[in-house]
Amino acid sequence: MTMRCGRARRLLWPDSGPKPASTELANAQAHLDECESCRRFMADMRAMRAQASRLVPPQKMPRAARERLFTALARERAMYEPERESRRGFRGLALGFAIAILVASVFGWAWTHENAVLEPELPLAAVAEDHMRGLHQESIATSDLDDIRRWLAEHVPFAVHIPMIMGSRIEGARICFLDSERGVVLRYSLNGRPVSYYVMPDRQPEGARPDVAAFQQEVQAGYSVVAWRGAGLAHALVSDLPRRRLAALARSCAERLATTEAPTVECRLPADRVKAPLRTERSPSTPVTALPTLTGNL
Amino acid sequence: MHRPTRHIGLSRKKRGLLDCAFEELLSEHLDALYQASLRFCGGREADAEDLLQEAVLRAFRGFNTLERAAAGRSWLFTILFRTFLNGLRTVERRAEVLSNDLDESAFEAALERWAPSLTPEEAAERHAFVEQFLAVLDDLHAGLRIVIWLVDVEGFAQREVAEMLGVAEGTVASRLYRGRQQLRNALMDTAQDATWRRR
Repeated sequence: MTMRCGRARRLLWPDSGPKPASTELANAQAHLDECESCRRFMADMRAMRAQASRLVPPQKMPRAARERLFTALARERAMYEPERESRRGFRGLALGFAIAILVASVFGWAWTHENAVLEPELPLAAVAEDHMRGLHQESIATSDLDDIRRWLAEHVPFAVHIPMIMGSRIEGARICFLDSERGVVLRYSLNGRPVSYYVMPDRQPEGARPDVAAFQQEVQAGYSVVAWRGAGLAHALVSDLPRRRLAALARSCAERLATTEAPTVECRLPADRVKAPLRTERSPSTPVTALPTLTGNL
Repeated sequence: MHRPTRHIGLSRKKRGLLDCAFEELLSEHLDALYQASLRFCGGREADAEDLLQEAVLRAFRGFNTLERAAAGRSWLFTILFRTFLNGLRTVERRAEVLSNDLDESAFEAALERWAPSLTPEEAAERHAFVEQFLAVLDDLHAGLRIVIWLVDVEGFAQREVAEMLGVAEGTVASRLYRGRQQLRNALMDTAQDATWRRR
């Protein structure tokens, strides 16, 4: 009895490689040899497969999407780095800023501090972030506060208060990537010495934020870092000024921020650029205790 | 917070090597994974990016489960598909993708009804296929679209796709056939419309 076309096609297609020999399979092959329609069917199936791969042009992942993906991956990787209790919370934030400066020093800045110690292994996430920073080169060089405010509104999804640091001149702003977060750096010059004011999203859970301004300090490669939280953001001042002087500036900035009633810069980023990172679970950080009040004038 | 078991007992240097191996594997297949994500999500870029990101993070956490480097590509695509499936909101949508819907006699009857390929007139409109192919593909049901993409575009064997999707090989064959049939019919309709508009 002649095999039906449907049965023959079912046995012979898909052509997924050698099949166990059987009488029915042999009959199907014999049917194929005699049936033009079935041979046409097999040819059509092969052609459709070839057509599909030909009609789909290779498409590279958009660079911005690629960077977001690797940023999330870097953040995930950082979650699994072994952490001692003392490195959580603020200390981690201050060290993150300091390590970024340390990496920049290794890659091009003059190494002048004789007591500086290289990390035994390069912080790869910070290197990747610096690379991203270099690619984007998003910055503005101006002393006009309104221009800076407008630029900030177009580049970061959070409100930024621009403090007036006594005796200094603001010189511009730039975007930074630290610990897989996008933030902003306001650049000042104080008596000819650069001062960077970092503003980053605050990653602490809502309930863990301290009620009082608390400061953490760190020194790396001759640069002082003073960090604190306020207005839902994390802040830090970085400079080669003496540590006590920088701490006084930080306290002044924090006090002014605390008296600011409303955000001074409204976010005008398009909705598709305000993309919340994927949430990952974090264990509660160690509560930050306030340091003794610093003495000394500016 | 769950820490990946692959980190337990590993030195920092070995963790770094593992991370490098993962990024190397990912970089090799990232563009293909992105394209597949797009098609799984019916062309919606934001959804595709979210899907891919979640899949990559899951793959990173479970990198120790990859037994052979040679299986890395199918392993990544399997995770992508499973992540997509987990993201489907309704039981109906999951069933659309997962159901073992093969009815052998109906399948054979459908195979028998296959019409011959393009007429010369339709072949002349083939250039339109390039533009319309992805649009038509995105209109297919997810279950058919995914099989077409994995077999015809990515070149996975049907056995591999059956393992990825957790269905029988016959189901893959059935969906492949129905997907190709619908794809071809839709493209032919497009070609005929274009021919009619030119007259």
